[in-house]
Amino acid sequence: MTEQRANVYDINEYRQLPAGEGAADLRDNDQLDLRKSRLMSPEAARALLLTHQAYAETGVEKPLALIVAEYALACGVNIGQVRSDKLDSQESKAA
Amino acid sequence: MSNLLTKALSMITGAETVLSFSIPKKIRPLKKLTERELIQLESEIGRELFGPIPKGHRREFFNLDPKTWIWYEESKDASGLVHSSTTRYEVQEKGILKAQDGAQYSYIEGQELRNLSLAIQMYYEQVMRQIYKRDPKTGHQLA
Repeated sequence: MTEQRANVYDINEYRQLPAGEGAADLRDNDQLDLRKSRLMSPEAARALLLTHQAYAETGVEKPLALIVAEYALACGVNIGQVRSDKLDSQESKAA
Repeated sequence: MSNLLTKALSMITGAETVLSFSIPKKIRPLKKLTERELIQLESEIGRELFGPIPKGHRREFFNLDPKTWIWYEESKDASGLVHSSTTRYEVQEKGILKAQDGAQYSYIEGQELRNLSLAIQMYYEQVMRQIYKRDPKTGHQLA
């Protein structure tokens, strides 16, 4: 059985959107480290991380688009990780 | 056609050309799966997130890579002509860029943004649990 890789992001801070209109109740996750993203370009990851930090420092409410972008990226990275794990575990079993 | 779109369509159809649409063969549980087959399994979950699929229609929704989500719709008109559209949602620094059929680009907002966020959340949680047997919150193997 494949061991969990260390850089699967903990996204349990993200809350489900409420039905209908209204602001999204999504919160950023302190453990989200975009620098660990292996497939996103370093420049794009840095840009997102800097924006994330800037909003955290100023206390200004982050635009929903940015929140959703970060969340979508976290999900994408995590899914990519588990896919790789799955493929790697198949290779190791076959070996 | 862009390489990314070609790759996305080959994930959907299993073919290098967009002109042939093959239905994936049944995936045997013990068979070694390719990345494409894993994505096809994920898309089986993704396509159901948006409600029933009309008869004769085909829909796919899946995560192609960490910053790209694909929505594909296909249908036949009364004359049997196949109509299809591919929408790519790409994560960028400013938000999520929507590219339709490789031609129209815009950052999504409002209800579409909320709907996509919800779809991604549902996709993520169900794919992690059902396909990879992982806790979506921690990534750990489910007991």
